[in-house]
Amino acid sequence: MICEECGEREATCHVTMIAGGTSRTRHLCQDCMEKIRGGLGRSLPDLNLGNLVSSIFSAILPSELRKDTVEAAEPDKACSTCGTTLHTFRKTGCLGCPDCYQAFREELEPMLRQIHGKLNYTGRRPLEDGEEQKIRAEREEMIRQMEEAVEQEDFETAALIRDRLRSMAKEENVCRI
Amino acid sequence: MQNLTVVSSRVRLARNIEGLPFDLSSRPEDAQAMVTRVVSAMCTMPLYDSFRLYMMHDLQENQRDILRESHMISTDFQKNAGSGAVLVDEKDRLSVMIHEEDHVRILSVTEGDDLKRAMDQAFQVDDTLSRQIRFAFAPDLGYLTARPVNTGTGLRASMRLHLPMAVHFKQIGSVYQIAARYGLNCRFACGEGSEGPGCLYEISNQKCLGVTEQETISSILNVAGQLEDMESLLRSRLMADERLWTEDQVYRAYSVLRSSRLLEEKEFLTFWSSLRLGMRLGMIRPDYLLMERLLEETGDGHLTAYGEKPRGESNLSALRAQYVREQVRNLDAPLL
Ligand SMILES: [Zn+2]
Ligand SMILES: [Zn+2]
Repeated sequence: MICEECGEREATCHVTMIAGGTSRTRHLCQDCMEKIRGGLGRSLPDLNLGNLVSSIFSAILPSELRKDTVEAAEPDKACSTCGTTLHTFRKTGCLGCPDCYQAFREELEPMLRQIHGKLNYTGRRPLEDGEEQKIRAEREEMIRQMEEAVEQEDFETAALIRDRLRSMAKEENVCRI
Repeated sequence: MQNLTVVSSRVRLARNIEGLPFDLSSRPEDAQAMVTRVVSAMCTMPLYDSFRLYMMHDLQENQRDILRESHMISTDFQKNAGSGAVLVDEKDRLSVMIHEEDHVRILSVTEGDDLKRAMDQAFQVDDTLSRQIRFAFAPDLGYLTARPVNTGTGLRASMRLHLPMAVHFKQIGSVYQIAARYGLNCRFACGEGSEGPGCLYEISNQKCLGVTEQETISSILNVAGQLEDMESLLRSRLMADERLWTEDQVYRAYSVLRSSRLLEEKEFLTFWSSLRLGMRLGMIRPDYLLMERLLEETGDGHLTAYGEKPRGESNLSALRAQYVREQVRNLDAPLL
């Protein structure tokens, strides 16, 4: 991931700032991290941050700072599907394949909790197979009708079908969220 | 009611295909097969013919610049696309990057505060793909991505905000604070640091687990609403205390953008910001669409294409001035 501050370098520091009971995680490169840490005392009053002045850096995650402490004690292991090792993941911040989530589950959980606050997934899901086929067949039939209408230069009907296709896509989103 | 503090809204969805490593750069055949697979899945999308397919290595540097300035590819992708490809629907401002950090990244942009429409468009692509392709997904963790920051919804929703009053009255600290209270990130959108010309800021979600896409969108809309309230209050204060100075700033900006012959990027952004503020204050007849478009189209890539000469032979400041003059000429005369 790219540093939020400069938008250029790789973000290797993940810092959580806590102020007044809320926290915000920032993903920064080493340079920007230093800059912010160095300028913390000076720049915060300038920014008129009020009670943010009491901010503290509560946690500094992976890479550099963890390498010495954690990695030395941590035995390496690898994902049996793609061969990515835990140490490589710690270094690059990138997992190798979807199965890495199982292989490194134990190490990933605290990290995911740190980033997202929670671990339970509540978002949308890929379409189920049955539902998928029904909608697909319906849509294909409509597209066929639309093409037919265009061929017969019945653009009014074609536009109607197009609008229905569009609103179908919208409704689906509403239902599935 | 439309929130006019919002310049543009964007959505990005990260998806990966089951059973394959995230990074296929060392397996060119698989990488190529993936492009074919995604493109043929996209062909089933209604109105697919408005998409154009670009192989990144076939594009010239300037064409890549244009795609990035239009937010159709990421900065990262522009630099390290390798065997990557991108499907672009310029009219609907929708794109599908193949082989970015994740196998598939769907990008969707809308002008103004219509984050919901950006979302709908991205979901439509997501659905189209998920009918043909099985995405890496775990019921308890959601979509599995190359990096843990995106695990879950794979969603990064953002809004670009114009906050000239927060900057003028030194309230940017409060802006960051409001964003943080809702678990959002906030950053200055035109360069490093926390302030600079343009007064443009970007708020975006950081959490992808434990929140639904709808909740994410709601908190962004909510924060944008609070920031508009803040801007509106400060605008009244400005007009009460510093009316003459403000009018001077606005009409100066109007004149400069209409008549300058050389315009640096930073300078442009400063005047752009004053002109847009003038629209919000009822001094200049509003055209927010034009203002949004100007931001993209004064990028180096767009200007080079506009000048119809190679980058090395282009005077970008002169082209920027000329282009802005042409565009702003159509703006109605000042209202006062
Ligand atoms: Zn940085
Ligand atoms: Zn793996």
